[in-house]
This record gives sequence, C-alpha cells and structure tokens, in this order.
Amino acid sequence: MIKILIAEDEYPIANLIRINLKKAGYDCTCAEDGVKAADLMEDGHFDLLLLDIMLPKIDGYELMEYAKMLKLPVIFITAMSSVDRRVTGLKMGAEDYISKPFEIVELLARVEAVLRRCNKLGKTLRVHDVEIDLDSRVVTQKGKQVLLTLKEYELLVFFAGNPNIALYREVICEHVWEKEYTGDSRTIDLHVQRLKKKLGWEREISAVYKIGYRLEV
Amino acid sequence: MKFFWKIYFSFTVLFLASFGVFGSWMIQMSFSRSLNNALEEGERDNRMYQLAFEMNLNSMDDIFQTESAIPVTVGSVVQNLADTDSIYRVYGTMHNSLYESKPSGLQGNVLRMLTEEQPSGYEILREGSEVWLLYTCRSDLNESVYYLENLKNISGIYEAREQYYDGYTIMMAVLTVVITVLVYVITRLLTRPIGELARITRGFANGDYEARASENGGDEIAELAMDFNHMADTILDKLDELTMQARRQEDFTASFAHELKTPLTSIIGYADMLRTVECTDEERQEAADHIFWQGKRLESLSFKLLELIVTGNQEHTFCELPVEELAGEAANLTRVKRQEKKIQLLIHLERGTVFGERDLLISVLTNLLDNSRKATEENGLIGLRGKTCRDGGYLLAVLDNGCGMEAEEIDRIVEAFYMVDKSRARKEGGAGLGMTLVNRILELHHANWKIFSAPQGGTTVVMKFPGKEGQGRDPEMCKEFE
Repeated sequence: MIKILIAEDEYPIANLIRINLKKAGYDCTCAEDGVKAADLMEDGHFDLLLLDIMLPKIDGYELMEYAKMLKLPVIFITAMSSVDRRVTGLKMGAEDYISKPFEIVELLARVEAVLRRCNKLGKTLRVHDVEIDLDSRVVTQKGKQVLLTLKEYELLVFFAGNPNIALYREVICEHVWEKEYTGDSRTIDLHVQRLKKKLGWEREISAVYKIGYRLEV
Repeated sequence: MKFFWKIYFSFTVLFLASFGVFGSWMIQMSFSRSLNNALEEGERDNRMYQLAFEMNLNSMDDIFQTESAIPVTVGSVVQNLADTDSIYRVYGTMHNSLYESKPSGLQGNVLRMLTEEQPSGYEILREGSEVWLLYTCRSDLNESVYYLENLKNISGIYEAREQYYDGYTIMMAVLTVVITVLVYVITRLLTRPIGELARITRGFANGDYEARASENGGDEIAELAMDFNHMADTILDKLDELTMQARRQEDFTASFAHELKTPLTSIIGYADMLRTVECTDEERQEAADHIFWQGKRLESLSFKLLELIVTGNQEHTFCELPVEELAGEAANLTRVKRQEKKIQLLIHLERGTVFGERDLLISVLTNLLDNSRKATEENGLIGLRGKTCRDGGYLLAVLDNGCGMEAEEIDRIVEAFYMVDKSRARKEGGAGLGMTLVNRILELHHANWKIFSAPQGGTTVVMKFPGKEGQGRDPEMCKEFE
C-alpha cells in the first residue's frame, strides 16, 4: 500500500486530506509540525510527502531539503498564491504543488500523477473485472481486449482514478476534454453511455442526479 | 563646455591678454621716452648749432658773409660742437646745399615748410636699417635766409625697442606656458570639489545611497556638499520608511491571504467531500462540524478586521468615562467564556475617569480579558486593577497567572495575524488581530502601554491613560506597577 505523510499544522485540513486519501486507498500519517514530520520521514518509509510550507518549528522549505536527501517525492501545499513562492518550491525539487483552497479531485489527481511519475504506482489499474495498462493504453476485460476511443479511454482512466467519488460534469469536462464546461452535457453523457455499454458496466457507473456520474467499487 | 574649461580658458586668456597689453605698453612707454629725449637733444643741438652759426657769422665782416664763405665758417663751428657723430648741413635761401659735414644721401622736406612763424621742425628719416633724426631751423640773418640741419643717428632707440620686443616675445612664450600650467592646476584644485560632488550625486542617483560628499572647507561648495548630505539623509530616511511601510503592507497582505485561505480550504474541502464522496454518518458529522467552526473563524476574522479598519478611519468623540463602568461592561461581555474555564476575575479599581471613546475602550478591555482567559488554565485568576495618578492620568492594568510569553513574542504581539500559540489561538477562534486592535486604540487615546511577562510567570498589561487636558503623558509612571 502506498504510504503518504501529510505535514500540515491545521488539523481540519490535515484531517480532510487524510480522509480523502484513505478513501482513495492510500495509507496516511499526519504530522502537525516540522520536527514531528522530520522524525516520521526518517522512521517510516513513505512514498510521498504532502508538505505545508508554513509549518511551526521547522519550515517547509527546510523539510523539502531533507526529503530530497531521502529521495522522497514532495507535493507542497501552499496558501501563498504568488508565483515566486511556487517557483521557489518547484526549483527546490518539489514534484508539484497544490494551492489552497483545493478540491478533492484535484488533490487526488496530483497525488496520483506524482506517484505514477515516480514509479510508485503500478503500470496497471484494476477496477472490477477490467484491467488498464497505462503504458500500452490497452484495456482488457476478463482477458479479452476492449476497443475504446481516445476519449472513452481517458474517461475510463479518470473514473478508475476516482472511485466512489461523484464526478461533476464540469470536473469531467475539465479533466478529460481539458476545456471549460459550457453546460452542454450531451458529449459527456454520450461517451459515458458508450463506455458503460462496451464494458457492460450498467450498474457500476451510476448516474448521480443533477451532478454527473460515479464509479462504484 | 565644462565649467572647468570655461574657467580655465577665461583665466588663461585674461592673464595672457593683460600681460600682453601691459608689456607692450611698457615697451612703448620706454621707447617714446627715449625718442622724446632724442628729440630734445636734437633740438638742443640744433639751437647750439644755430647760436654758434649766427654768432660766428655776425662776428665776421659783411663781405665774408657770402655763401661761398659759409662752408669754412660752418666747418669751424661744427668742429667746435661736441657731437661728432651727427651730420651738420647748411642750406641757402634757395634751399641750395652750402655745407655738409659728412656726405649723406638723406634728404628731408622740413626746410621747405619752414616760415618765419614756424622757424624749426624735425623729421625722422630711414635709410636701410638706420634711423636718423633730422632737425632743421631757419636762420634769418642780414636779409639772407639759411637753413641749418643736423642729422642724428637714433637707430639705437629703435634697435632697443626691437630688442625689447624680442625679449618680450620669448618672455611671453615662457609666461604662456607657465600660466597655462598654473591656471590649469589652480582651476583643477578649485573645481575638484565640484567634480567630487557631481560624482557623488551621480552615484546617489544610480542607487548608491550610502555615498556622502566631504564637507571640508568653509566655501560655497562645502555648504552645497552639506546641503547635499542633508538631503541624502532625508531621502534615505524617507526611503527606509517607505520600504518598511511596503514590507509591512506586504507582510499584512501575505498573512491576511493565509488567514483567509486556511479556513476557506477547510470549508471548501469538506463541502466538496460532502457533495462528491460517499461518507459515513460519522464523517458527515465531522465534516459539517469543521465547516461550521471554520466558518465561525472566518466570521471572527472579518469582524476583527472590520473593527480594525473602522477604528483607524473613523472620527471619534471623546468624553470622560468612569472606569468602573467600562470595566463592568467588559467583564460582563467576557463572563460566559471565563466561567467555562472557572476562571475568577478580581476587579480592584480606584474611583476615576478615563478620557476616551466608550466602545473602543470596552473593546480594549474585552480583548485583554479574552487574551488573559486564553492564556490561563482552568481555575486561574485574572485581575483588573486601576488607580488615579498624581499627574491626572489613570493607570489601568490587566493581570493573569497564565502561561506568559517570551520577550521576542512581546515585541511581535502587535503585528497583525501574529499569534503566540497558533494552535491554541485556533482552538479559541482567535484571528491574531486582538493586540493589533488594542495597540491602535491605545495610540488613538495617546495612552502608553507595556506588557510584563515571562514564560509560566503570568502576564501583566499596564496602560497609562492621559487626563482630559493631556496631562499625565509621562511614560515613566508605568513603573509604579512593576
């Protein structure tokens, strides 16, 4: 199981991240100050560090140096919206950043992307009876290959990455089509219908009234 | 053209021109005096010549007074005259030459112009490089007219002038070099401070704010340098002030953004979780709880901030307020939370008044009492004490036996969004603006205030309010409480 360390001094925010990452299947530990985070980094073998910059006792930039030594990938969480701060963090070797306030889908997407980039996640995603090979982009169901269009494939990967989360049409549009949602739901609905049909996932992907879709696991 | 070169050229030209004019004038003066001397001498010679000639001729019998006899007579006269370098001549009535002591080709025109009214005259004649002075007079003797001429070589005077001029030319050449160099050096010395000042000014303009001009000497340039330094100091002070202000502004904005985004992150995050993720009842309850409390925190932040802005911008009407009343009101406002922790508040006030704005002063007291409550354990003690000062002011103190704080923390306590114990402040719903507000209000009341605290040693905040007429602004009075 992937182990993630959350270094965040605000309990509600740390708790929020912990709950949601846990639901996505990660094992999370929280540290509320820099010293505790440093100790935990040394003891436990973590795969990823979510790091708040303004931490008491030892600040985030210092911890980032330490994480670099331990070859621990870092995503820093910052309330500072200034480009300078973000650039400083990225230059220091952080893999990515999340600026406060953030949405859960964004958090999960960034965590997953970084883990995948750092080879902490396998090359395959498994949901129900479907296996997705992310390198060769081949989808197989019960040993048989399923042919999907580009958007259907991306939609499937997005659903698989956010199981049990109600995905709003806006969010789907932003992540899969990479454009702003204009209120036209037909394209999304059509693709979801075709995907359901091809995989026979009539019940697995359920429509959430007025919101969008959810992949039940 | 640079000022240096302007000075340099004007002085060089002025010096050389005046030396030139003066030198030529001197030479010319000396020359004309020599010439005058020569003229006088010529005239004297001529008079002597005429006198001797006439005397000699008169002493002779009339028969010898023929033109043919003249050369012999004149010859003897000339021999008696001292000046042998001169040439003596005699002309007859018809301007015909009668005698010539030495042969010479020089001919003057003066004798033709002489009349009875104008019996003598002179002329300067040149022959090659030689200059001769020709002096002529008309001698009317026994119905015949003789013209007596003496020629004197005055080349010496002219040669002397030429020599003077030659010497003077060399002298001028040397002088030109010397003056050029001297004026250059002097001008350099005089204008150097200007150049220095200009260099420093340029440096200052280019951002070298530490550069200062040297203020040596008592001249105008030193004064200018002093003024420049004064200006530079003023500018630097202003600059520092502005930089500080900008930094404070920046810090404030950054802290504000952080304080705003932290509760927003929780609110948005938990709300997003509620709407997208399947949650258990327990999780749902927890999320709602967080949303509620973070919303409260945002509310408290916005109210405090509003209060801070309003305090700074509004006109306030001050009046005399009884301290007991203010204290009672503040104690009432903070009672509920204090009772939760079973903290006792001991009020001991001397009868007196404070000159100020009622709501603001109550806000100061509630903030201080709240801070004391937050710092104090359960069953702790908070004191509110006050006394009238001899100088008409009123001394008020809020004391507690809570956890206290470090000296560095006291220094930073009035900074907006600064919290001594962040996690505790969060739990209590603080925004880090209370002491900023207190400071602002006390400044408005011209009150001095000070915090005495040590870790685990409790905290005492002492405020000294001036009286109505502004008396009692002596900050030393705070020491009474130490």
